[in-house]
Amino acid sequence: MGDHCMQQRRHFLRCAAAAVATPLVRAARAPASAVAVARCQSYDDGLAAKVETLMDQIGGIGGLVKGKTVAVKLNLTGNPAGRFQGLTPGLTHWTNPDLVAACCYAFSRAGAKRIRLLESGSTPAASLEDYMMNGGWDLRKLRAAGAGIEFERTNNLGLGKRYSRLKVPDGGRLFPAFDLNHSYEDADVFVSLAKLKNHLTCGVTLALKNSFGITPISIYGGDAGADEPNERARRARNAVLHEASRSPSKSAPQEVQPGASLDAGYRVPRIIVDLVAARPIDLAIIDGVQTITGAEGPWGGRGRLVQPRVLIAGRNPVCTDAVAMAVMGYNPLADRGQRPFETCDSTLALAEAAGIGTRDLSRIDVRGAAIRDVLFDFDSRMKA
Amino acid sequence: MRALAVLWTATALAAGPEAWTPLRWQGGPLETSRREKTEAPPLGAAVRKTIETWYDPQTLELLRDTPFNCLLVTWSAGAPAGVEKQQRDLVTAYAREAQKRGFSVLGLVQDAGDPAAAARDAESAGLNGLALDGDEVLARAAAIRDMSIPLVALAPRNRLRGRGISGVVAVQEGVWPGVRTEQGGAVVATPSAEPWIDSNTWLLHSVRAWTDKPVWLDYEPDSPQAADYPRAVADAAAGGGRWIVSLDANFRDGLRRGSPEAAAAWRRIVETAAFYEDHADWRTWPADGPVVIVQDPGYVHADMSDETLNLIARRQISYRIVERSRLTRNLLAASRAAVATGIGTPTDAEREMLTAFAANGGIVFGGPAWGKAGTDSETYFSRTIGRGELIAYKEEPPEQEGLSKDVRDFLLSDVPVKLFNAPSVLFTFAAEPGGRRLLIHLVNYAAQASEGATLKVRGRVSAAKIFAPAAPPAPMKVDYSDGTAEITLPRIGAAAAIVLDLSSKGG
Repeated sequence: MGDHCMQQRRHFLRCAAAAVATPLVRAARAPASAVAVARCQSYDDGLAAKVETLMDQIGGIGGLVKGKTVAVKLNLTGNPAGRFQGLTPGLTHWTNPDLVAACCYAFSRAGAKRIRLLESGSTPAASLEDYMMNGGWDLRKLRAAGAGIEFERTNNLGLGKRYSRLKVPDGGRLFPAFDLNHSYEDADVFVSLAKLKNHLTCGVTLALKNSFGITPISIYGGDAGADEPNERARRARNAVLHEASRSPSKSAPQEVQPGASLDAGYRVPRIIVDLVAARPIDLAIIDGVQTITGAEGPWGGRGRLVQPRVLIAGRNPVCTDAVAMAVMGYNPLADRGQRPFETCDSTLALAEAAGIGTRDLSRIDVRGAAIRDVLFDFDSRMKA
Repeated sequence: MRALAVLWTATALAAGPEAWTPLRWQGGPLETSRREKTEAPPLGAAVRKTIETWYDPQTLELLRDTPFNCLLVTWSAGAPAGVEKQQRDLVTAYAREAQKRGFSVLGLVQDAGDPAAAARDAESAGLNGLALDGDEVLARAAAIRDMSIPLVALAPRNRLRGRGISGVVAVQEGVWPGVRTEQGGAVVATPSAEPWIDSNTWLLHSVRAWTDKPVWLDYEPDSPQAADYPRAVADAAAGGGRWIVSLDANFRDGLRRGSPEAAAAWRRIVETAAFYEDHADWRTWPADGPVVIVQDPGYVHADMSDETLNLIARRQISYRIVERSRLTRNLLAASRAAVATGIGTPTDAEREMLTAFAANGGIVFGGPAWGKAGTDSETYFSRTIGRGELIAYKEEPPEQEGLSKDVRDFLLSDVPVKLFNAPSVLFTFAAEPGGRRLLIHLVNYAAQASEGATLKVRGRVSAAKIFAPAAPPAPMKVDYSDGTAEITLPRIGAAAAIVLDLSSKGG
């Protein structure tokens, strides 16, 4: 990190610690929405009550979920067999299963008709349930958390008969539309239940970045079918989405300007914004109770197990991510070249420019715990 | 355990090689001389003395109340005559003492030793047999085949196969089992890869596919920690064989000096070996699984077939191996998939049999000889045949990692037994001959115990019981979810076994 960046970072940390939200750049007037923050000591620390309080603090979710089908996109990145310091991934880099259960309980109590847990999953599994069990999840406990809990692995057609085509309203930065598993269209309410983490390509993995995983690898994976989806695909999305070394299956919408950029740091943030525009996030919840630094999974090499002991929730994913970035010790107004976006564009900035939400802390009503009280400087806890 | 141990040692000689539980027990001046020529770094003075004086009858006390009943002792290594004679005199006395206590003693003859002279002397000394080690083992064995002393030839399996071995098939191959780890022993994977496990169970299954004899694996520990030895014992036993337990010199020095750490580690080795010898009948249960792997030892890419076995086992898929000459419709009918990439071009009869299997709902994985019809995927053509599917790889042999993943992916919903949340555990299963019980061997290749694993079994399980070293058998609760039995496993140390009763009555 250069001296200039370091100075900026120190300046920002001072500001955040003082709860002074003086934005470095005045952003466009994208929508602002309240974000709730709660201190949470551990996954045994009364999660159900804490989630309920968070939901109340952002205005309640009864009106949002009552009688509705709620789709919850989890963050279960990497192979379920991967372990960091011998711990199951829910204690390191996955959304924690106890938090998932607490959220299901809250949605169910608020009247949700159906709760469908969704994730693509990086390795083949017969079902999302199998995938979760490989990660050490107790599915009986999860099923008991609410009525009508369903599971679907969305890396391909899954239980659907056809793919759903969701258009990007403004035409898209890279993609004009996406072909996705039916569950993303079926859902009345879409929840991004994410993890508080760094990301090797995008700087941070939060509620927005979580949507990257809604793309099915049958179409966007390295071994996707050339013409039609390959329902048995198993390669990650790098070739199509990060590097553009090949196209998605021809059956799906192609890039607006093929070959415009081969830089993952340019492409991935834009694809995320396109995805969030196509399938808006209605509720963002970020698990920062226990996580890792340095990367989105144990493969980054700079990872450390850390306990920020925080939960963050909001109706607007950009606002929620902005608060989460501040909690991590980053400036949510940072742009490319500034920590943590040294080699990528800021997904938040692009989302803000797209009118999805503001990242300006001065416009965000932070409720519950103050940022200064839960500030957890990720960079200082990263391995050199 | 004491009563059983007495029984083992009392019956070892009478029972013959099939009941031998082997232990490399090398020592004496010949051994130190041999090691000084071959080993780097050299033995320290204390360890050297331990090895040199190993044939003090006191060392037999270490074997009291253990299942080990067959000692491989240093007998000949082509050293100067004086050293060889000194060694044989020492070993002769030691062997007599060992035999009084019920042990069988095999004299190890290294490649520089004269097998004929060694055999004559061994007969005179009353040893129970010779174990030929080193190069050209079979040629050396042939030179003394007319002698009456039993021989164990320690050699790679491709040299032993088809040799009409009597007694024991002692395969001198194997890897020191364990999981390759990072970060202080934690099991770590990359975004899309499982942790890499070194295991020999596939090797044992491979050998047991062509012999009914007891199978031993002979390999040396690779920088072992004391806690690693039980895993090596379990790894071989799970494959239906026995590892010739071989303790490194420092460990033996610790034992000799009465080190509490070495004694505790030795106790765990003994407990693990005793566990499998207490259930020696499990070795008679044939391997079972949803996949049949068809092999041909004469296939030009036979070495790739080994990799197929290794990698499919790593995907938590249990299988049976059958030589192409023994492939039958009945064998296929009891399977979900057949991997026939290891035979090259199928004969007309094989093609007809495998096609019929696919037509009845099976999945056949074959090579380019199966043609290019069907959907063109990156590495194979796939086509529907009746109710089943044929996967014809474009390359011969197919890329093995991809093949193993394809087998897993095509079988995702059809595997009768699945193990979850146990990335460091490999399992293999066997079926009780003529019975309704299923034996599942679990070997944990990580230093840490495996906790929170779940077993899912398709169909009804009337009873489930877990067995583990130094622990009484314990019944396990079976829950059902969508018609699938779910069993939450207790903490798994180095090894355990689960017996599932699939009969309607239970028991």
